Amino acid sequence: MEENNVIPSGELILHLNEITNDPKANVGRSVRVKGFLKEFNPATNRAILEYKDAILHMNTDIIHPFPFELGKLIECIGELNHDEQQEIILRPHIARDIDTLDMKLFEKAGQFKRQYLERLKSATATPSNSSNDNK
Amino acid sequence: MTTTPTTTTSLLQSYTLDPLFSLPVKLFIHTLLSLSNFQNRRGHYLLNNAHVIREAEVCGLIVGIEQTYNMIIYTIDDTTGTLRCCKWKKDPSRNCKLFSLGTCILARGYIGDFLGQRQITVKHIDLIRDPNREILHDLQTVYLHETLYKKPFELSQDLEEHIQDIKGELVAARKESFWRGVVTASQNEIKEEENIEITEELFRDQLLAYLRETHLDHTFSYTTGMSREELLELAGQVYVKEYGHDHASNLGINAMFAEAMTVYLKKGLIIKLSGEGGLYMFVNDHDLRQLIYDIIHQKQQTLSISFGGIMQEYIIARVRKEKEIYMDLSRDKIVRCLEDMVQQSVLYMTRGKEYKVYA
Repeated sequence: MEENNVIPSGELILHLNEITNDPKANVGRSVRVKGFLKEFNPATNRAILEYKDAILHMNTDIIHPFPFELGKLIECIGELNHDEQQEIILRPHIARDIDTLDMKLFEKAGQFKRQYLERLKSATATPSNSSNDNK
Repeated sequence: MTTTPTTTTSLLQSYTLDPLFSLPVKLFIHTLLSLSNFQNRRGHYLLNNAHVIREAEVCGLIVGIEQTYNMIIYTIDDTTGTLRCCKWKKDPSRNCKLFSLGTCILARGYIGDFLGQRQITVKHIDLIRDPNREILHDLQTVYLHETLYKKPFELSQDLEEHIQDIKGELVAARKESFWRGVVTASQNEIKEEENIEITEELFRDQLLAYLRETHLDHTFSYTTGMSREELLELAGQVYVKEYGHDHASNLGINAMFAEAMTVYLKKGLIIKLSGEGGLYMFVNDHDLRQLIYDIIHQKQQTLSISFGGIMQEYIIARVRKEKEIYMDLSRDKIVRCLEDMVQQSVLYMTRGKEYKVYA
């Protein structure tokens, strides 16, 4: 069964430094990130997400208006690309306020989910499991 | 886990008793997209080669919204994949409130394939306001996958010992309720089951009876009857028997239901609503008769007393023009209505095919 490839899924990112530690490897990925809105410039549609020590620049031109207060915890789904200065930048097409989210719980649960998905992928990739092929 | 003949055989025997067959199963979208169809049975999917499931529950953010005349399609993303969730509108003629992009929802519905794409037909959507709730769904899903979904369904020993007897009772009870319930509603004579011949006409009568019972005052589409397992089975039997096919394909069954709508339209039992979507409604006989009466009465007022009557052709043309829903109403239906109204002394005929109302 083909996946719905019209809208790519935003891959789970537990911490912003997964992107900022290796920007080149992440260009072109569709991701779902969480962070505190540190800065926002409506004139240039530029925002900065921050979480712990990492920051991620964003181009918010698609989301208009960008209705989030500074300091709020927000979640964004979008594509990673280079900007004019070759810095990695996220262009979100979906954003929401998740200020009540328990980030510690999210990180623990996210690890758990990630490990499960990796086990699933390695199980379906094993040649003996041919009956798990998609139609 | 490979499929063995024993696994498939045991699944075939008892999968409908598996609780997961009757419940919306919590799944990640990635898992849902990778399910394979079970034994070519429409709407039945194999999970971990251990369970046959029909319904799923997924939780994610809305990343796409499409709307047609009679359906809203939300594309949701739970970080493992994206999935179309199709929700039929209850009343297409009214504007309905949509969830906005970025909203977190929990969607439960039937798994299906449409034009090569996996989707779910939504039975219920819950709005999730608390972002921690999405995490709860993820944790529950992982837990269930690691525990319950991996274990094949096993019948208890008691059930195993009496499985044949139970099967026999269930089949007999199902057949009895199907024939009694639907045949009585269609006002056909109740015949002995052995004398009922499986024909296309019987299928159409049963489908009509079901639609009258459940959708007399509501719109429906040609697929509405497909939610009834017995009608699907009957359509399949007719398709094989009357058209000489080896097996009932999904396309063939679809065609049977669609053709039934065409027949009902020709008979004037239903009308097709204009616009997209292929929605139908039963003709409201009372409304139609009132319209015919008003047309004849109005025209009669403008004519002299010695004038014969209002011609049938004029009445038919006026009915079709007065109300958009009657634009394609079959001529036979209007004529039958006129005849009934004459029999009930609401109208009288002056000459052949000319009618008047009593002063």
